[in-house]
Amino acid sequence: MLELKSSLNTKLQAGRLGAQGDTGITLGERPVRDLWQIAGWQEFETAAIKVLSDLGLGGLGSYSLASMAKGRTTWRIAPDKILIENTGNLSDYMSADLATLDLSHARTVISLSGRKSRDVLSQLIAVDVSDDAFPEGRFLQSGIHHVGELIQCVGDNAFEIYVPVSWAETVWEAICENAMPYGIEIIAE
Amino acid sequence: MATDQGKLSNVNALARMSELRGKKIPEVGTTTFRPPFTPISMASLVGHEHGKHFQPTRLSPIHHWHVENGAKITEAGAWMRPWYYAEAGEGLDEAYIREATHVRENVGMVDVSTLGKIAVQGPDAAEFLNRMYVNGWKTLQVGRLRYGVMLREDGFVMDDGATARLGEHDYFMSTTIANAAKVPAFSEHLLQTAWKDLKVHVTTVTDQWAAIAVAGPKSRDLLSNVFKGADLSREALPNNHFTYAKLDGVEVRIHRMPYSGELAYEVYIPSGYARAVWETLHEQSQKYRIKPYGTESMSALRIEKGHVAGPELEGRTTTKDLGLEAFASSKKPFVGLILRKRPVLKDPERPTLVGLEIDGATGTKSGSILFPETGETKGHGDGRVSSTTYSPALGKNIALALLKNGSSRKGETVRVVNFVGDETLTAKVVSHHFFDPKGERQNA
Repeated sequence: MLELKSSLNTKLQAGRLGAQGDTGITLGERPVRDLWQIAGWQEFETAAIKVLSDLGLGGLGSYSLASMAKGRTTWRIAPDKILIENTGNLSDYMSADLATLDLSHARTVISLSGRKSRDVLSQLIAVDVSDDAFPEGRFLQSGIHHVGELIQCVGDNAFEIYVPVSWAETVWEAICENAMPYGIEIIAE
Repeated sequence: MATDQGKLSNVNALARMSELRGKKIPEVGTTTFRPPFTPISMASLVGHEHGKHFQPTRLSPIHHWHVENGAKITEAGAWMRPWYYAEAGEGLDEAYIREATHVRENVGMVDVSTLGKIAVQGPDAAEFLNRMYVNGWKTLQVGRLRYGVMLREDGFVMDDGATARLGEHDYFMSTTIANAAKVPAFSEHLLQTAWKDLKVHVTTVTDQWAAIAVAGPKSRDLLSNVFKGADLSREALPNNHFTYAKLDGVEVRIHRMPYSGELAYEVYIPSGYARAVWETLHEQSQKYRIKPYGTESMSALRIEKGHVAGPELEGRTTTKDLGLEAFASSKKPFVGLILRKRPVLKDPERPTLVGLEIDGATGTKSGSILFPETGETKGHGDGRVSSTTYSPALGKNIALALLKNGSSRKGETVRVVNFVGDETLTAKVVSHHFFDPKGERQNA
């Protein structure tokens, strides 16, 4: 099998950056599992529920809360579009009522965590990311450094940022620049 | 703060005005000054250093290979692209001439991951393409691709590119790099307003797919050897067709479509595997003499072939100006159909695309103005130079240009005036299809 190369390959060097002392920020990458988009039209909900049901997932979900089941995550990113991770190949569901699209190689997931992670996020996006407003399970679609991303809160002060792969390095650098004063630990798998 | 309302350039302007009127400044009068009330240095007005973070930077998945292997990098919009791969002692000119020559004689590969790529999906996808492009899409079969030209609503050419039909309701559109964001935004706007009845989704997949163009007379042999089992023969894969192939379990899609005028293919790869595929191709350098080439030689090759690109699709040109009128269907409506019929766009004297063979050993500059061989050198002239290069294949400096009544002036000598460089050259007007006009090499 050919080598799968991360778009952050040159950035993922384990070590410390920025301020010394307690680490405020931990940065790393989480490999994307199959990431597919399903989209449709008037009959979208019926067609989407069939796919979700086959995958052991529940309803269509809300526009701000990720649905997680069976190791899979779904995001309702628009009235007529859902993203699903860890799906396997969905191309067989392509029909006149449903468009399926493989985006597994289109996104890099940057993991951002640590006691200062909300401070860094609030410097980068114009959205309230306080504990109450952006708890675990919530997601939002915003832009960091002029690049559109999906950001999900995946735990206590822990976030995953889905970045288009060609922009991954520049977004990584923008995050680092903002996180330097808090001290960064980079985790390399 | 506006600089002209404080005591900066405003003071100079007042002084000049008083001088012209032969009066002292207070007699002429002053404006109500705003801050800064005393002159300050320019350095204090400019923003602080942002470095490369002034705007985000976009990288191909093969970018670091290019850097590690000596490529000089150039900016193309937000992208960083390999400009040329200098070998010992080479500058830009030596490198791109060598690279372009190598492609014509052997085989070269260039990273074209930067192409805009858009998934066009849905049961009305063909109808959508029919409305977006001037040419027709209802007959395109699965497994084939087609070149298309799209207009802005005002009738000028907006973009061009190839679209492949992957499945019954599934198309893969490519755009120029410059319009990779504009085309999907315009498409989405139309789908959400004017064409809400169409069952179509457009999604950018530029990041999902890397692309490598492999061009040159040995390209078929090379790719057939790397992608075992793929039938790339002339009969099985003519121009405007695509096929699937595998390399170590990774599926790629191979489009046959030339940009350089050579036998050429574009290999579309899931981006995470792009570097591995690039390296596998490069490992064939001993057997097939494959070499990477950069954007400068890619440009030289396309100018030799007479293909239009960004410098010609610059917002002021029509299909007729660019020799693309034959693509425009008369049987269906499309964006720009009405306003392209404006009298000003039908003016027979409009500048049209021509080739120029420059006399002498010096090349010209894009933006140079064209004048008749004799006569005055003033005004806007008869046209303008859009793209220039030294042509290794022809052994001379050539250019693409837009020249008034261009199609009827073949053989005429024109003056090419670069006012910025204070330089005047002469050139012979020729067809813009400089190299292999019959297309024998690309159809090999």
